[in-house]
Amino acid sequence: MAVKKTTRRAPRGLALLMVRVGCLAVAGISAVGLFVVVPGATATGATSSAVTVGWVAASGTTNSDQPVRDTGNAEYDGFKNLQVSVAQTEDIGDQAVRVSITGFTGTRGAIDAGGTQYTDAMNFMQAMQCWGPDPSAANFNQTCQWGGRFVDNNGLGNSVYPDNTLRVALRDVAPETKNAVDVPFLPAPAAGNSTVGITSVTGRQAFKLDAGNKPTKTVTYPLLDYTNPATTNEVQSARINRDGTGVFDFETQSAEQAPQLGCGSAGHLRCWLVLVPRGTKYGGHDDSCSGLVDNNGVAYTFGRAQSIQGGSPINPACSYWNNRMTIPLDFTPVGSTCAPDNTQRRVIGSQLLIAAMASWQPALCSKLSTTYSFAANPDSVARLQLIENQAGLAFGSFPVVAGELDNDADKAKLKTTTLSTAPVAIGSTVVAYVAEGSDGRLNSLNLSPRLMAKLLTQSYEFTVPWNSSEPQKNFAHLPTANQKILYFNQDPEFRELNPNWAQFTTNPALMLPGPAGADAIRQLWRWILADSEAKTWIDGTPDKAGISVNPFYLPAGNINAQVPEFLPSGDYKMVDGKQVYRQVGLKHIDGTPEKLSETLLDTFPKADESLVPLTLNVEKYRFGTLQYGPYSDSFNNAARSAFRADPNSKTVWDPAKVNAAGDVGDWVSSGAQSPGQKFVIAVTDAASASRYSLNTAALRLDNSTTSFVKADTAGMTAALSGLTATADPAVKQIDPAQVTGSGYPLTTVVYATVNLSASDKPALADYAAFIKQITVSGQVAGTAVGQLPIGYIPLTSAMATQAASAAAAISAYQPTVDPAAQQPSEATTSATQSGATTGYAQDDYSPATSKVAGSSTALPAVPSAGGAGNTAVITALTTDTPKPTPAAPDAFWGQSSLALSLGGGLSGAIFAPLLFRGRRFS
Amino acid sequence: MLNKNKLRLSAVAAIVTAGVAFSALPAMADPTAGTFAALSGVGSDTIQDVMNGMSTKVSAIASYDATGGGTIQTKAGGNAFNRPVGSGNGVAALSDSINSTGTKLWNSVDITGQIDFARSSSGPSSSFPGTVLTYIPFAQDAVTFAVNSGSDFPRDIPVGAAAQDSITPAPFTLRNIYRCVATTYTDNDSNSVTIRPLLPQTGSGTRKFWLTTLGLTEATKGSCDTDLANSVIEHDGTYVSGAGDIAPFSIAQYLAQGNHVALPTTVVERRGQAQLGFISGIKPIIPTPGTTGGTEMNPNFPVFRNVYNVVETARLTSDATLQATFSGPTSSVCTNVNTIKQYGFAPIANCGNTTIYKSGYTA
Repeated sequence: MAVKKTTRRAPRGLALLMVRVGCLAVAGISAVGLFVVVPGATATGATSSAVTVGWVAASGTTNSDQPVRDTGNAEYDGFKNLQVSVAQTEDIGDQAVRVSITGFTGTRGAIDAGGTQYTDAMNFMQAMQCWGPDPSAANFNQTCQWGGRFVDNNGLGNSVYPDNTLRVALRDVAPETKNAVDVPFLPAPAAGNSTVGITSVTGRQAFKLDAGNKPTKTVTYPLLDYTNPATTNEVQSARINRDGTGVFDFETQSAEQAPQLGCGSAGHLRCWLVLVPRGTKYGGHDDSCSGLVDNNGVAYTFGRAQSIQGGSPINPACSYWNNRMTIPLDFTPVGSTCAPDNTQRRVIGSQLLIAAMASWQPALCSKLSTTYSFAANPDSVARLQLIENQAGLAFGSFPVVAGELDNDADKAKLKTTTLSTAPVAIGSTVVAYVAEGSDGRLNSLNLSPRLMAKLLTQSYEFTVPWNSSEPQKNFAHLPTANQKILYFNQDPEFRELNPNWAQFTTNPALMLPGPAGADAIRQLWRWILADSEAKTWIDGTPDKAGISVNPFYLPAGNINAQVPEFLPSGDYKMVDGKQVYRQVGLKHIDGTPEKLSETLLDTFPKADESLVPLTLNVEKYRFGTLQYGPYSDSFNNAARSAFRADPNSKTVWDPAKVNAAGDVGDWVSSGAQSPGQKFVIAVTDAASASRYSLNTAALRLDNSTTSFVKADTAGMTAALSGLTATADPAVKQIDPAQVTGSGYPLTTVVYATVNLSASDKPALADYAAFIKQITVSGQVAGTAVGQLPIGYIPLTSAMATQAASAAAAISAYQPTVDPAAQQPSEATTSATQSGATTGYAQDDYSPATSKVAGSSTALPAVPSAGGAGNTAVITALTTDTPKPTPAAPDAFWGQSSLALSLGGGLSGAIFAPLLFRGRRFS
Repeated sequence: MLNKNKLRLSAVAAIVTAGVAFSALPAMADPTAGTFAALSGVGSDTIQDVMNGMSTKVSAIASYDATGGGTIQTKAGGNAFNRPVGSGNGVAALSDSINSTGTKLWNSVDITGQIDFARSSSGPSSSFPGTVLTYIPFAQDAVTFAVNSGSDFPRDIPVGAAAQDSITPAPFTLRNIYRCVATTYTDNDSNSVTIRPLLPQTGSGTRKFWLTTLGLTEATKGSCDTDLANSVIEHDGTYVSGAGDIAPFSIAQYLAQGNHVALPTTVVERRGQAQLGFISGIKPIIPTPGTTGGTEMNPNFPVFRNVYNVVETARLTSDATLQATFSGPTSSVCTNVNTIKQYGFAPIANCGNTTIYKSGYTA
């Protein structure tokens, strides 16, 4: 076997008698959406399970899993030196794995007989995930995920010849074609079942049947029920450099992401990465492969040289499938190993903990017999929910102190609340990017605080909404010097920091998490604002090149906070021959001017109010910043969008599209960025960036000129010298301004805070055990379940000591609370339902539940901001509860909206940014 | 069918008008109101003239202009409806005419059965996958850039490629001009002239084709490219008015507009001051072999595209007239080579091919 590797374990069998429970997926608590995360997913650097396979077996070996290579094969000479390395083949989850190619030939473009130019016409690599148990089986190709891009805006542009998106020939995909060759898709059977009886899905289109089972004229593509451009991981073309090497990242999908493949489900841990190299010879005998013709209209013949690579890689009517390379992928079991009768405890807060919790949680379940259901939400919301007894434990990076709370009721309540805080993880915010030119990826990017500020304040042309209608007017509100910068790399400051990027003339799509906030975002703003040149720039001082901030981000009333006004016709509004300006700028919620440099935000505002196009011609309405550069709803999704290079901006007018209101004509997406012309920049966390194989920028230390540091283990460790006291002695946070030397300035400590006053004895014991485990065995770096994943560094010994004493204090605390009145300890409803009697929480919980629920109708009578801080005020806003009459408007808005966010999932995302707009931290 | 006196009159009118102003002329090439043919077609303005000309040779064809005001009625007793403007709209209207769901309307009008073919200057889009429509190629067009004849704008520019994006200084290529990294040229007086790259209106076949040719998309095109508030009309040279202006231009249209006097149907001369450029040293137009004074498209021009008539796939087997008109190299359209050349297009070897270019309904 020409497979080199250091270790290989046998695929794991079915572990334990555990039932799949959506432990992480507790019903809609989150303000940032729910994260169903598969445990154990790791990074894309070479791991101990890396595998290298030659297209031809090394001399004296056999290539297991690979088809026999015939020297008579037309492509033999082109492929004989081809080698492929896959960076990780074990403990695979929903992640990206890096595939490196050597010994190939550079990708070439070509023009077909119709005059259309294809950039990836010859010499490229295709990749897909297949689930079949036997890679040499005749129907193995039917188990491959392929064909999901035969739809609108598939993101391929004119890279490969279009019939590469199909499972069958273009001729045969048509439902009316007689005697068509079909390559159906065989979905993976449910866990443990055999494939017998599984209905395959046609790879062709079909006529929709009417009520009488007669075909109508409507054509459907049934495969789309299984896979489509937004979900599929098939790679139509990975480009090869002129030196014959190439690198791309493949998104592996577990059964959670792709149930139709079932990878990682019980008894089915092994799936396959299948690579199909495409050379220069035509591999079809007739148009059941591809209908390509030469410029004389003569059909391509088998083996024709210098041929555009038409035809599906999995279609047996073409010969391409015989050239495949098959690499086993061993998945981590999906789902949770939490027992259904575990006690459940809800924990909330920081997005920085998503990856860590995914790894820790299965170990917590098995060792502590407790299911810690984690829902990420904005740290600031988590702090309020903690004080308002809506959760017993919250993760955050800034202390739960009066200065972090918005309303007086919460501040008052804080005084009567006892908290205990422990450090639990050290992660970091990163500026991740993918920059892929025709010569491959760029792998180093330096950013200064001011460059980041320019991106975040929409001060470049490419960050404000525009289209080709009247681009110059779209940019007219930007300062003159900014209008000269057409590409990111034309900013002299960028060039100085990144001399190797001088010619990368592609502009980035910016993917920012939001609109919900996060302490990790606040750290980014702290880093920017502690830099004197960035701070003065944000205040309106131009840089050396004259570039200054977008007027929409200046405080209202600033002399430059004005933009040209336009008439509905698209012309400049003029009065007495003079152009008319509109006053703009940031304002606090009370209308006073807001200075961005003095407001520590935990969000990324999108303040530019420009609408495009100025003149409505065929377009029926305009679009603005949020449609031009939409938010990603979480750090994790920002990373995934960056990996897929799909900014999802809708800026192309499609006159045929029917919009939501039923009218014809709408803005549509221009699709994902094309291979070889990608540039995305995303703000995310180190763990997500690692999971999706994104590059991360080196950030310049505040007020330095020379120190650029990346978010690696060394950088994060060195940053701990910047730990600074906060208003809570238990919480020290890294102050980006205090980080020196080789420290990474956005390193962030995450703390768990437990509301002791609101928790009963069993809950406190559970929280203490939780903290004990995650701060001891959970701090061992590694990819196994329960360990600390890539993207974090272990706690320092001082922090570990602090965590241990906090855990001891929590378990020793004598609650004063009436256990019946405390709400968030979810002493397992499932236990109650199942009739199991594990756990001590049950005895006093069951009757209490009904009692509290019954009493909730009395809620309006209880002054919510009253003195009895820890009574059952918040308890149960059941669906039939009448709206409470608020004692104080602040309290009402605070509590009811938060309760909504607890119960209603997304509503929190809507409320959060509104609630906390204009909050100050000074 | 057109009556010859009318034709002559309209030709005269065209000359006179062309000398005076460039305002749009009324559509003179539509079939006479109240007369109908077996196959009615709508869509692209790039190939409306050649198909209008074709209708004078092939009696089954009735071709309706893309622009020209007023509604059209294409079948006896059929509803009058708005003209579909351009390739994309033509195919959308054909989809509405086929009306697979029984509920489709064209601009709120039921046009079921009113359209038999759509003219398209671009091949099927991957945005509308499927096979229910067949794009039948019948001729080749080529596209080059046009600049103002009075300017010193370089007349020979290569297309350029993404691989050159990393070369300093940016090579003077069409790609770099439309990416806005080549933003000026130096005129004969050594003055720097700022380039204004023009694009035809959104949705036009020429715009899509041009961006594709340059390896660009709507998302990656440069921010100096403009369609002047979506007002730049395809094949209208009057927009190329400044010394720094550059725009894509169909060579076939350029020739047909130049030939307009001799053509059997009305072709509006609207080339203005536009002059065609060479691409990598290759001329767009060559003398017609074996003639004196005649010109035709250079069949070896590197930037070319097929032009198509789009029909419902199912009717290729069920409708003998449709088949005889469009399908195969011996079809009426494909055998009328002279008409194709007269209107500036080049004949192609796979004229009438019905197996390669397919699409789903676009509306």
